[in-house]
Amino acid sequence: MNQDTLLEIKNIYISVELDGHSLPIVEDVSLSLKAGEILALVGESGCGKSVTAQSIMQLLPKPLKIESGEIKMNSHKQGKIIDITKMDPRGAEIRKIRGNEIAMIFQEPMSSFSPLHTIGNQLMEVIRIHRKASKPKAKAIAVEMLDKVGIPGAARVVDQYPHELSGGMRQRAMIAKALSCNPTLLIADEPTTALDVTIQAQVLTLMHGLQSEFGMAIIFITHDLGVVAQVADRVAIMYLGNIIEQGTVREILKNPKHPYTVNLIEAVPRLGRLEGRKALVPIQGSVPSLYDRPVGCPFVTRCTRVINNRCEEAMPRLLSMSTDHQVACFLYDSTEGETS
Amino acid sequence: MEPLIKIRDLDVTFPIGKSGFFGKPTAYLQAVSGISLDIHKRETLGLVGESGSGKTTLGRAILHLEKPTRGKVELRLDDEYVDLEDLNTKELRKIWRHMQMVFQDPYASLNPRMTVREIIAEPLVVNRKGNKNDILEKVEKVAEMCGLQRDQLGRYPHAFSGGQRQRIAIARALALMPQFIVSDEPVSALDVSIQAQILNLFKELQNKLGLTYLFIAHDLATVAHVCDRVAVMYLGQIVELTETEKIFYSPKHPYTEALMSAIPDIDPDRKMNPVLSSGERPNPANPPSGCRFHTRCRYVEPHCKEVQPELSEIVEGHFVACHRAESLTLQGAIE
Ligand SMILES: Nc1ncnc2c1ncn2[C@@H]1O[C@H](COP(=O)(O)OP(=O)(O)OP(=O)(O)O)[C@@H](O)[C@H]1O
Ligand SMILES: Nc1ncnc2c1ncn2[C@@H]1O[C@H](COP(=O)(O)OP(=O)(O)O)[C@@H](O)[C@H]1O
Ligand code: SF4
Ligand code: SF4
Ligand SMILES: [Mg+2]
Ligand SMILES: [Mg+2]
Repeated sequence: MNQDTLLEIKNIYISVELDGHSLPIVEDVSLSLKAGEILALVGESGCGKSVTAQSIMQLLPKPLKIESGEIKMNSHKQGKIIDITKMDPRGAEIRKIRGNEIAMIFQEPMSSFSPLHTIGNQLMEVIRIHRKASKPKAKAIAVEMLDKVGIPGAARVVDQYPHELSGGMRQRAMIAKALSCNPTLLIADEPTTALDVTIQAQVLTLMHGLQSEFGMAIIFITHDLGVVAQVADRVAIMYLGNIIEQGTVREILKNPKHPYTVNLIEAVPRLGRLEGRKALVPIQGSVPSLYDRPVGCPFVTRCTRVINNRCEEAMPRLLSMSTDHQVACFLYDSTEGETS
Repeated sequence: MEPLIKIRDLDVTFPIGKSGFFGKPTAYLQAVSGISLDIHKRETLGLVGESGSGKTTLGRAILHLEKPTRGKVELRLDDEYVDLEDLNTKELRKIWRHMQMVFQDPYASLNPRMTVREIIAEPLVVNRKGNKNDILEKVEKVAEMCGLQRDQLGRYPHAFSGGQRQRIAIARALALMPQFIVSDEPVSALDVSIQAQILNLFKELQNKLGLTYLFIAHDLATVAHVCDRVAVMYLGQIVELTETEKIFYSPKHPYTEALMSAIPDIDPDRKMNPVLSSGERPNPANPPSGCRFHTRCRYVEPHCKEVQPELSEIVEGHFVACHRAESLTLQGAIE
């Protein structure tokens, strides 16, 4: 693993156990993240974004499990490279990572706060564990964190209960909580999807600011390409449990190669096109369910550029187009693909 | 041209917080407050504003699915205006042939125990629109218009994807051939790759049938794409109303400016520069005095806290409710 690489996911397979059958949910996903980098993980609902994120924390719910692959992290706090997949999901080792080196924020902020305790007490608990601070010191840090995430009247809010805050403020408080352990990696699962645009803009600006201030890396999960363009350095596009294209944001959004990415960008209404207002170009059909995963390329049921006798036979490999642009599509693979 | 729908001084007030089981409400929440608005035939009028600003409530009140507390709604039918307030339940039901609503959640709004054919036919049956064969024929016609295959009509909603369910919901709303449709966030629950199909369907149906839409949505790029005019709501009131181009590129209300500056553009070279940097959303049950936006407005003056600005037409067709509308130079969305 490279020195400046923070996290490296290699060929991870995640499956779900249903009625005695094991169905793949995430297939052969590889991702890598440098320290201080913002990586967006993009895809439509059900494509496996949250599951991938949960696997990094060993937080997969019961019927799901990591079948194979590695998730390696360059632990700054421990000064060594660790393999998360080797850890017991309930063991002490992963608990040293979770909420410490890796923090996670969720789409629904209520889920990371207990309704019974004040915001302040919940932040202080984290701060006292991770920073070994005394109680009054921890409270001071809690107020400082709330203030940093732009909560007006932080000194008052610290004594309030989660339900007393609005959605946007709770989201900020959750970010404050995640950040109070000084993580090197923050995983944000659709942190702004439930928010109004003005509040979303505030949270995005905030995360950007905090990223440059604290230098942490962020995995930002979203289905909104606009959000990707605004916050991320790199982006990985997922479809049916596979990464089908990845690279720098500018490269992927301005020079997409995979038919799915190309179509997706065409299908989204955007302001620049207001003049003339052409009809949008929809993608035919819909995302197949897990049970109808087609053989071969996952996009084959909707793709307009299918290569007969090839796309339905094998899964295209992720190949490099340039330094930081990879695509998994036979249109760009001149070698004879291996058949599976 | 005479508007299709005239809305005047509309209020919808909800009682909230009761003291005891039979007690009187302890407070009231004005979800819609003094709204006047004309909706023109064949137009798509967008309705935007943050969560809780009253968009759904206004949509429902226009149809009288929610009884307005004050004010009136008139629908033009055969060159005459019908005042919805004068109608009893039975007469309202007749009016709903002309005015329909499509809801946000295509999962929740379809009866899981009815086949698609029954779902689309129901409004026709209830309104006794012909005999069984006539109705079945109509169902097939409208289903086809909405892109549903005939062999799918015998299936139940759970067998369909989100996009297809939204087609079913639209077909049902269209079955009675209404003139006016309120569509409340019709694509927000759908996969991004499916949204375009439904948005194009709306446009197609409008061209074919001359429909008029009130299009409620929070995705501003979608609104820009489909709407002719846009009304911006803030805490139960319309703060700006004009053509789409003007709302997006030359807004006159500070809240519209804040909204437009917060649109995350898909072009990474067009970085957003959100202007609304702080400020909590006020409690809708206890809105601020004077201009309701004054607690978050960066152009606020002392006067704004005292006097409520009226929605007035500052140039032809451009309505703004702000004391400083004529002197401020605001920034629109990135062009
Ligand atoms: N039946 C009700 N009883 C009490 N309050 C209500 C009721 N329905 C709506 N409200 C309140 O009225 C206000 C406007 O609600 P409405 O649902 O119209 O908002 P909206 O603009 O459609 O929001 P969203 O974008 O979240 O759908 C909100 O403060 C809401 O809590
Ligand atoms: N607890 C679970 N049990 C069974 N299937 C699950 C579970 N969690 C997720 N899945 C399935 O895994 C796939 C990926 O889910 P998820 O990662 O949540 O998608 P998203 O990209 O929307 O975050 C979906 O098909 C989903 O139905
Ligand atoms: S591999 Fe084939 S089916 Fe898949 S995206 Fe490329 S051309 Fe389309
Ligand atoms: S009236 Fe005053 S407070 Fe209200 S929007 Fe205009 S400038 Fe801002
Ligand atoms: Mg998810
Ligand atoms: Mg609503």
